[in-house]
Amino acid sequence: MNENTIETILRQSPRVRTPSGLLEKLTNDIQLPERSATTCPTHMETNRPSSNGLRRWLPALGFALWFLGCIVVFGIQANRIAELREQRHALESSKAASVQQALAADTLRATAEGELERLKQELADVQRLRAEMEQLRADAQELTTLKAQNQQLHEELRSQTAPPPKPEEDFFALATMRAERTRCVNSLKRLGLAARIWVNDKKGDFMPDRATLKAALPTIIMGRENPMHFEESLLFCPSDGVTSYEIVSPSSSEDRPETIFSRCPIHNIYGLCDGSVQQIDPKQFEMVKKDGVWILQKR
Amino acid sequence: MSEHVEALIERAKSGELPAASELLSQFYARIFGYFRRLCGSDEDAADLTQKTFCKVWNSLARFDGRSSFNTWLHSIAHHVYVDWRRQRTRLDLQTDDWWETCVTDEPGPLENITGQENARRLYALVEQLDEEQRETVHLHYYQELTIQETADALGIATSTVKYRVRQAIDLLKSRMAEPKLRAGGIP
Repeated sequence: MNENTIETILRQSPRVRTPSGLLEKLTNDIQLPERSATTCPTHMETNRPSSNGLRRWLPALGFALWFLGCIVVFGIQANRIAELREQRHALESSKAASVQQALAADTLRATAEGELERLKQELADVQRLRAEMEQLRADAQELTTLKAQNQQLHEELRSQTAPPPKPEEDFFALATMRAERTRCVNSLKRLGLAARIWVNDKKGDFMPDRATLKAALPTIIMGRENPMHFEESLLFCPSDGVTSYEIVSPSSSEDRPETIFSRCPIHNIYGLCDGSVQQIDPKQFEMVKKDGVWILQKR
Repeated sequence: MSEHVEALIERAKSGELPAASELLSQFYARIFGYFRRLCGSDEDAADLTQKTFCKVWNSLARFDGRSSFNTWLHSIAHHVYVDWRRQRTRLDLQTDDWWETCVTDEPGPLENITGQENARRLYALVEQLDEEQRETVHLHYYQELTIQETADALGIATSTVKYRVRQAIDLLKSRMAEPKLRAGGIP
């Protein structure tokens, strides 16, 4: 079916039958305007323009009223906004001031708290020192008491026990001293013998210093095979083990046998260059330098 | 607009009841047919026709003749129908039976069986168009208004009327080319 046929059919659509009585009903409902318009045409002509004019300007008037209302509302809101801004500025300034006051108060409070803390610490230290002082006083008093008791006990003990023997009467002490002196003599003899062997080997004078003697002793005494087994205690007095023998006349010659080569400062024992060892009484002999060497001379 | 109608209008404006009655008798059947095709009910169509002519008589004084009386009348009828349709929860559409009755009862050029069948189907398809196209088709084809008169009655541009008419014809053409037993409406 083409478009023309469709349009033709549509244009020739069937007519609709009107119900009976509709025309009468509609006729009865006719309500036309009053004839006053015709009877008084001048009145209608004079009234119509004003009515039409009002109707024509009604939208503009409505818009104008609405616009005025908007302006009033806008003005009120602008005033309100300005007031709120001023209030906000005032609140902000007061807030800033309060914040600064709070900060200052915090600083003062922190300082005061620090001072208080320091004072508390110092008070605690003072109290601790006082307690320690009291304790020390008590200890001192107790010490005095103990000293007194100790003294008393000493006295009691002294009264109850026999007095200790005098050193010169003590047999064991005398034997020990004698044995140490004998060992000291032996050591000085060995040193003198070693020095003489060294002189013979070197075909010259005695050792120039203690270091040379110390270096030569192991080979001389222990032999060339096992010098490591040399005991350095030979260079020290056996009574205490720490007092070393003195090399009195280093680089002395065999030509003067009375020259003192070594000496024990504890026992006053002298080793001479001839290899002999002399134990002398200091009250009777003294060591003097003569012709550049040290010798023993009677007082 | 014929001079006779103009004279009747002027007389009715001046309050002459016979002139108004004559105007009514000339146009009420067209308006009733318009409503009857759109509403699908004789009672609703009668009510809407009554409302339309009430508005006509009330606003007759403001009719200034810028459009024809027929166009002005259809414009009022269109607004009455739109108001009525807004108040309705459901739109009653004409059934094929109603159109069948109309086509069968009315004598016309569709005398052969195939032509009547196609006409019934076409009228039913018109009722399945969307509301704007349907009203445009009703005014332009069924009420025999021109494009300009239809545009004035609907309050739209003539180009819009032409566009709607073109759309409606194309849709009807395509639907008519489809098999007859199609059950669904026009999308």
